[in-house]
Amino acid sequence: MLGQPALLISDYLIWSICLIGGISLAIGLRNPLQRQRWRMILSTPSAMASAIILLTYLAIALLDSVHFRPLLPQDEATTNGSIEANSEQPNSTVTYAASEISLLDLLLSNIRKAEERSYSAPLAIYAFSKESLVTAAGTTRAYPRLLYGGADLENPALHRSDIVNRTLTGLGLSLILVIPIFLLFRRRSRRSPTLSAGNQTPAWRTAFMTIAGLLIIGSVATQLADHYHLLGTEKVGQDVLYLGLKSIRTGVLIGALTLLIMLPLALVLGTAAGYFGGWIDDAVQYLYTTLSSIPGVLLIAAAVLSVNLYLDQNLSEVTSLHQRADLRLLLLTGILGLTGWIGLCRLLRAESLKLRELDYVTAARAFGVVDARILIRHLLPNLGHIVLITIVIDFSGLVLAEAVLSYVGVGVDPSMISWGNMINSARLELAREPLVWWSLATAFIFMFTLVLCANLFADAVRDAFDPRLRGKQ
Amino acid sequence: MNSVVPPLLDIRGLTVEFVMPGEILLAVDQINMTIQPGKTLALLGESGSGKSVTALAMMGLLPTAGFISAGDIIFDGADLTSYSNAAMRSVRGSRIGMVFQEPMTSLDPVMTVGKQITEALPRENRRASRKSVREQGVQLLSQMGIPEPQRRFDEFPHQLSGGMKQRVMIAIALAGEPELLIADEPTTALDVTTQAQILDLLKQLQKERNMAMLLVTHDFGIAAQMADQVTVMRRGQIVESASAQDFFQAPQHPYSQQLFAALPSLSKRGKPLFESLYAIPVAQPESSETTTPTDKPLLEVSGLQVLFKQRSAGLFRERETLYAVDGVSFSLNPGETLAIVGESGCGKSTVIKSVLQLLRPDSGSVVFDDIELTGRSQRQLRPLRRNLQVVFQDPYSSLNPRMRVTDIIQEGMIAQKIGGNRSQREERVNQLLEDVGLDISARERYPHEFSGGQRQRIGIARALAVEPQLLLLDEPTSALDLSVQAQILDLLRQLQHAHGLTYIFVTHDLSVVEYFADRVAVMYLGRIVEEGPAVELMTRPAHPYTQALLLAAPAIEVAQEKGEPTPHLLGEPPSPIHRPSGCHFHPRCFQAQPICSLDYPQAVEISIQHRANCHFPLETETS
Ligand SMILES: Nc1ncnc2c1ncn2[C@@H]1O[C@H](COP(=O)(O)OP(=O)(O)OP(=O)(O)O)[C@@H](O)[C@H]1O
Ligand code: SF4
Ligand SMILES: [Mg+2]
Repeated sequence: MLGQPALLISDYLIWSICLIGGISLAIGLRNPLQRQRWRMILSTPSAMASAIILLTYLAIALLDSVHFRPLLPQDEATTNGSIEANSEQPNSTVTYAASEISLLDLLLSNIRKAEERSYSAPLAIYAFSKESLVTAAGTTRAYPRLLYGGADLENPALHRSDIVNRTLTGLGLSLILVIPIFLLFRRRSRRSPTLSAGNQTPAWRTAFMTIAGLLIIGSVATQLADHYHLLGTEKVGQDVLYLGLKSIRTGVLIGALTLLIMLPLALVLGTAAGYFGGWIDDAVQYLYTTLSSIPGVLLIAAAVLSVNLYLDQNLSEVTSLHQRADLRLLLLTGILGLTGWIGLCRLLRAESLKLRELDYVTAARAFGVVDARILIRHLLPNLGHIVLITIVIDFSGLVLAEAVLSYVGVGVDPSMISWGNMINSARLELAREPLVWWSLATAFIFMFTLVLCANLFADAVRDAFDPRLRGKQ
Repeated sequence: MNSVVPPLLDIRGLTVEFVMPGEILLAVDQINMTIQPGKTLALLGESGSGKSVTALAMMGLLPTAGFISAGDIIFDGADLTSYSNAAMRSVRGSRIGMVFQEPMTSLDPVMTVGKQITEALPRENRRASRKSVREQGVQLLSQMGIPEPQRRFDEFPHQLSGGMKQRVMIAIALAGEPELLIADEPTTALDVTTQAQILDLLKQLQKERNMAMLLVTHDFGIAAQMADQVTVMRRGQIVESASAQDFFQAPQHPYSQQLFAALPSLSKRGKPLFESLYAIPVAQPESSETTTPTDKPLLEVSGLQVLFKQRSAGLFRERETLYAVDGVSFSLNPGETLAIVGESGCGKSTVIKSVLQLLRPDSGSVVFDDIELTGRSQRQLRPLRRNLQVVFQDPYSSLNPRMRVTDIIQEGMIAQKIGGNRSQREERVNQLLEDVGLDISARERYPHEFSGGQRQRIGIARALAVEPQLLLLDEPTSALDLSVQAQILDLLRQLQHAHGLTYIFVTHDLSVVEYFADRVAVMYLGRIVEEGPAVELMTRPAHPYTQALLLAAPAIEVAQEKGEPTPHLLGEPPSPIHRPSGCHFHPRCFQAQPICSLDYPQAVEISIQHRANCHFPLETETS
C-alpha cells in the first residue's frame, strides 16, 4: 500500500475517455472495411511513428492521472507501536500526506525532490548565478555547487567524462531491450504477407525504429537524470524535465476533455438539426451563428475571469490547492468545449441532411423504425469518420490554445504545471543576461512533438476515412 | 465493299494495363478494330468491359495509373501511341473530338458557353476579329439545334438543361472540325425523348461532315439505330465484331446471344430472360392480364397531390409552388403489376413516397385494403407499414455500409416485432437469402463486398422480410447491366408468383414495361396522362405523349430501314413550377389545337380500363 487513493475529478474523466475511446475503436474494428482503413493508416510510416509517440504521451498522462496521498514517514516513537497496528486496523494510526501525488510523481521521485535553490543550466554541477559563499578564507562571490546536480561527483574536473560515461551506460542498457524487440519485429514482418496485400501491411520497420529510438532516449535520459538536471532547473530550483513531463497530462487533458464536452453537443445538435429539419434546424442554426459571431478569445477570457472570481469567493477554504487547480482546469475545458463545438456541428448538420435523404434511411422509415433508432443505427455510424477526423485535427489545436491562453493569463491555474505556464514564465527568463533558454526550449520541444504527431496522424486518418479524398485516387 | 479505302482508324493489338497497389490490372487485352471514314462503329459492352478505357487510350487521356503496354493506334496513317503529349494535344480536338457521358461535369461551370466553344475553334479561325469568332460560335450553337443561340452564347452551363448541355458538348467537340468523333455513352444521362433528339443530331451532323464516329454504348437499341459496324467487348476482350446488319440479325458469339436473350420485350412476356440461372420452369398461370375488374382493389389512390414550396431566391419574392404530383388517381388489384413511366422529374418517385406516407400528400387519399392511410400519425401507421414495402434504384445508397447483411434484413422484422426471437429471425434470413438467390454465407458480410445486382437482391430480401402484400419498386433495374437486369426481373416475376405480390413498378425503360407490367400509367409533369393495359397501351397508344415516348425509344427492329430520322418530340419537359396552361403537353404536341392551351382535358375512355387525358386522342386502328 503506497498510500490512500485520492483520485481527482479529472482523473476519473481521463480514464473514462480512454475507456470510451477504446470501446468505440473495438466496436468499429468489427467491420472489415473499418479494419482495412486502420490498417491503411498504420501502413503510413509517419502515422505509425506518430501513433507510437502519441501512445507514449498518453501513457505518461495516464500514469500522471492516478493520484493518491502517500504514507507519511513517521517518527520513531509512533513507528514502533504502529507496525503491528498497521496490519490490523490501518486507518487508526497511519497518517497520510495532505497533498496528492501521482504514480508519475512516484516514479520521478528522484528529480521531483531534487530541488535546487534557483536556476541551473542543463547537466550543470554549478549554479547559474554567483552567490556569496562563506568559506574558511572569508566571504567570496562564486558559483556554488548544486545541491543535487552532480552532487556525488567529487572531482569537478571529471564532469565531462562522467556525462559521457553515463550516456554510454544508458546506450548499453537500452540495447538489452532493443535487441529482443528487434528480433520480435523481424519475425513479425517476415510472417506477414508483403506482396499480395500491397502497401496495406503495417509499417513494422518504422514502428521498430520509433520504439527503439524512444527506448534509447529514455534509457540515456534516466541515466543522466539520476545524477544531473538533464534539462536544468528553473527559477525556484525545480527540475525542468520534471515540469515538461508533468505538463503532458495538462495538455492531453485539455485536448481530450474539451473534445468530450464538445462532442455530445455537436453530435446531438448537429444530427438533430440535419435529420429533423424544421424549427429544430432553425433554432440550432440561430444558436451557432450567434455564438460564432462573438470573437472566441474574448468569450473565453470573459468566461474564465468571471468563473475564477466565483471560485475565489466561494471555494477558497473548502478544497486543497490541487483540487482547486483541477476545478479550474475542468472549467477551462468546459469553456473551450462550449465555444468549440460549432465547426463540428456545422459539418454534422450538413452530412445528416445528406444522409437522411439516402435510400437506406427511407427504407428504415418505410419499416416504421422509430427516429431515435434511425439516428443511432443509420446516422451515427456513418458520421463516425467526420467525428474522428475532427477529433484528431482539433486535438492539436486545443493543446496550442492552452499555451496561448495560459500565456495571456486566462488559461489554467498558475500553480498548475503546464507548457503554457512554462512559456509564460520564460518571458522574464529571456530578458536575462546570460539567457535562460532551457524552460522555453523544453516546453517547445514537448509541445511541438505532441502537436506534430497529432497532425501527422490526423493527415493519415483523413486520407483513410475521407471519401472525397479517396475518390481522387 | 470498297476495301480500297484505307481505314481512318486502325487499332492493332491494343493492350492497356492499370497499376494498382500490389497488382497489375489488364483493362484492355489485345483488341483490334478499324473505322472507315464517315462510318460509325458501335462499341457495345456491359460496365467494366473496357469500353471507356479504349476510348480514353485513343485520345491519350488515360488516367495516370493506366498505360498502353502493347499495340498500335493508327489514325490516318500515323501511330498515335508514339506521339508526345504535345503532339497528342494538337490531334485532340482538331482531328479527333470527344463527347462524354456526363454533361453536368464536363463543362466548366464558371465559363460562359460561348467562351468554351470558341476556345475549341481551330487556331487560325480564333485569330479573326472578335465579332467573327462570336459569329462562328453562334452558328455552331444553331447548328446544334439550340434555340436562341445569340442569348445562349453568353449563358453559363447551369442555366442550360441536360440535353442542351450535351448539345454544347457536341458543339465543342465539333468546333475543330474533327474527322473522328468519339462519343462515350453520349445519351445515358438523358431522358429518352432528349436522347432521341441528340442521336438524330449526331446522325445528321455525321452525314453533313462525313465524319467517322466511335460510339461507346451499352444500349442495343442505340447501336442498332446508329452503327454500321458493331464490336462487342467483354472483360477487356473483343468477343464479336460484325456489320450491324449481320449482328442484329444473327449474333454469332454465345455471349452476344445471351445478351440478346436478356433484352426484355413484348414477345418475351411471361418467359424468363436469363435462362441459364433460373432453369427451373415455374408453373405459371397464364398472364395475369385477365384479372377480373370485379376484384376488390388492394390499393386505391385518388386525387393525390404533393406540392413543394420552393425557398424563394429573393427576400421579398413570393414562395413558388412546385407541383410534383397533381391529382393522380389509380387503383390496383391484388397480384397485379402497375408500371409508372415518364421522363425524369415527372413525379414518379414522389408518388411512391406519398403512397408510403413518407411524404405527406397535400391532398387526396390513399386507401390500402380498405384502410385510409393519409392523415394517420406515425404511431398509427407503424403496424400498417409491413404491408407496403419499397425497393430502390441505386444499389449503392440503399444499403447502410456499416451494417451486416443479416442486420439489414432483420431491421424490418425488429421494427415490426415479427419473426420471433433472434434465432428464428436468423432462420428467416437464411430462407430469404435463398429466395433471392444469394448464398447463406452472405449473412455475415457487409454491403461493399457485393456487386450491384447482389445488392439489389439484398434490398429485395429486406423488403420481403416483413411479408408485404404490395411492393413498390422505384427503378429497381435502371442502374444495372443488361444481364443483371434480366436476372432481377426474373427474380421479381418468380417472387410474385410464389408470394402473390402486387407491384408498382416505376421505370423509364419502355421495353421493361412491355415485358413486365400488366397495366401502365404514363405520367407527364405530375399528372397521369394515360392509363391502360400494358399490351394495348404499348401497341396502340392514345395519348400523343405516349406515342412520342414509344417512338423515341431506340428499337432494334428498325435497324434495317435506317436513313431518314423519324420525327421526334421537340424540346424538353417544362419546369413543374411554371407549367403550361391547359394541357401541360401542348407546347410539344404536334396536334395541339387552341382549346388545348385553355382547358385541361378530362379522361376519355378509349376502351375498357384504358383512359387518356387528351382532347384529341389518337385514332387507334383496332386489330
Ligand atoms: N424534397 C423535394 N423538395 C423540392 N422538390 C422536390 C423534392 N423532391 C422532388 N422534388 C421535385 O419534384 C419533382 C418530381 O420529382 P420525382 O423525384 O418524383 O421525379 P421522378 O419522376 O422520380 O424522376 P426520376 O426519373 O429522375 O427519378 C421534380 O421536379 C423534383 O425536382
Ligand atoms: S390535349 Fe391537345 S395538346 Fe394535349 S395531348 Fe391532347 S392533343 Fe395534344
Ligand atoms: Mg425517381
